[in-house]
Amino acid sequence: MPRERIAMSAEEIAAFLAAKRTAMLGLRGADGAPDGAPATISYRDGVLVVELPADGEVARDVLGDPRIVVSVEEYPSYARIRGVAVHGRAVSIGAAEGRERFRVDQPRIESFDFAKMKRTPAE
Amino acid sequence: MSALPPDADEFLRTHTRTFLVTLRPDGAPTCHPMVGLYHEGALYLTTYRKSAKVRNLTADPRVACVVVTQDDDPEFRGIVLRGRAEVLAAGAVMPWTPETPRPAGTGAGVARLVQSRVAEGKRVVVRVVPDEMKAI
Repeated sequence: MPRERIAMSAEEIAAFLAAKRTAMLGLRGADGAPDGAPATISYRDGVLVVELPADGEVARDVLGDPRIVVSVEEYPSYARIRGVAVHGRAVSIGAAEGRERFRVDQPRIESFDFAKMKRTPAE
Repeated sequence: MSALPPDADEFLRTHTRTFLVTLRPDGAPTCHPMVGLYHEGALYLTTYRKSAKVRNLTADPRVACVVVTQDDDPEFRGIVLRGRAEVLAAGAVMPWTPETPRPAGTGAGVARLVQSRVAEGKRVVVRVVPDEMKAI
């Protein structure tokens, strides 16, 4: 389907991200193959921050290859699926209380909102 | 990450919320929320034949699939499957079974619509055979 027609507005994306605390992180593992892990996120003033367990495998892999994607979605029903993916580079901004924090730099955002489809899909 | 729990197989058969991680042509990872059906040791997904997902996994079949509960589940958990993806030949079907839970708000009409798109060749079925599985 033509994604541009069902993309969220910048305001919708900001509100969507600001309301979420859990996301799926896509990354490359130490072997170079794709990997995924849940992450805690916060979004404020246009800056996305990802928190991972410090000294864990995922944080180590992100430090090794900072190319990441942060995917957030909600699926209340098929006709109302929404999602945002933020592609960017993870920059460590420090660790505290056992959590390593990364800012997502050079963000490139994709989004979709099935409610914007002209024709509602079958339920 | 930790070793698989004893109920991993049951968890995969009873949860469909899946995030597919593929590699883009520039080598960066990308992630797509999908519905995944686990059947006899493999995870099955369906998407449009012309989608970026299919282009990516055709160029590099290495993928990760993360099957998780809902974000607000008080006992949030999941399983990561890392392995290789293949686009199945025309005629393949998604392995829906009576015990497969349907995602919220997704009725039989959606399943029929998806299957008709597969039959038309607009959608394809992708099978992911894991080389590695780990709990999160």
